[in-house]
Amino acid sequence: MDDSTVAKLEGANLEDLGIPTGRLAMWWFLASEISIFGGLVCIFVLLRWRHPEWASEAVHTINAAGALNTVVLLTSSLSAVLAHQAAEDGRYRKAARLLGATFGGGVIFLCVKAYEYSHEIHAGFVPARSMFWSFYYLMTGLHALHVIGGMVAMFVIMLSVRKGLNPQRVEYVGIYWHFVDIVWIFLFPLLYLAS
Amino acid sequence: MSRKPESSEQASATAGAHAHPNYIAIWSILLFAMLVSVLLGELEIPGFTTTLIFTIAIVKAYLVAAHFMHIKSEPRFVVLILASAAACLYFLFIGLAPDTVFGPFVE
Repeated sequence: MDDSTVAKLEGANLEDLGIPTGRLAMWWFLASEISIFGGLVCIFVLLRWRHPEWASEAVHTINAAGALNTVVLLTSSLSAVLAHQAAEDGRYRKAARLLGATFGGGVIFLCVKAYEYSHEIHAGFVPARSMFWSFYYLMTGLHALHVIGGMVAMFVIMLSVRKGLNPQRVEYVGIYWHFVDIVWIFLFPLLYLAS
Repeated sequence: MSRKPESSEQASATAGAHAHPNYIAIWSILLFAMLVSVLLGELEIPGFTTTLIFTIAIVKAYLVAAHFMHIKSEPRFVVLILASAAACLYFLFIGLAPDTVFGPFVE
């Protein structure tokens, strides 16, 4: 497909749907992500309901680390949305700096998570210990992989938006990052607070 | 694919620009809600605490989706796309609950 055809198709989509195709693709992608994380959360809730004794396992998760990571992700979401605002205003260097701050939030999140994992594994809370810990590592690990994926995309977009290229992508990666934040908003009470 | 074709979309990014609320205020509310959740978690009142903590989580998720993701200003079909995924989860939940929670369970 040549460039002019692609441009025409995108133009047609914009007129018909009233939304940029890139943003629409991101929403479809997130709908599939809702199924993945939502499915896991549903099964966890059902089994947690069935096994009230999991509460004795959940008390060993580190609430302070979970709370710190919540603050980190909420703050990185703030910088992501401010980057979007800056990109819309045409302030691309500021947008790149704010994306860099969001990236930094991801690094801090992963460091805290690594500390938690090492502490828990040393204390004997490994995935094979019980179904609660299997779910804990599966859900938080999958979430951490999404954080890493978002950071990679953010880094690439940060480099391009510094040069004024594809500023619309700042919004797309922001939407993805906010979704990762929302997933954590539910994982935090499920795995840490509801003990 | 070259970057050029995205120019139409790039141009539309400004045309479809969102209204920007006070993000700092929303972020402050989110942090306050998180603090309340953590304090409730320490109270350990069975039932009540858990319900309240998850209610707060839903409110926080709504704030992020509505104001940071700008779902409110997206076309209605975008909400339907996301709602259809959520509806699948609802059916998964009510379909599995009778056996998983109340039925005989083999480890």
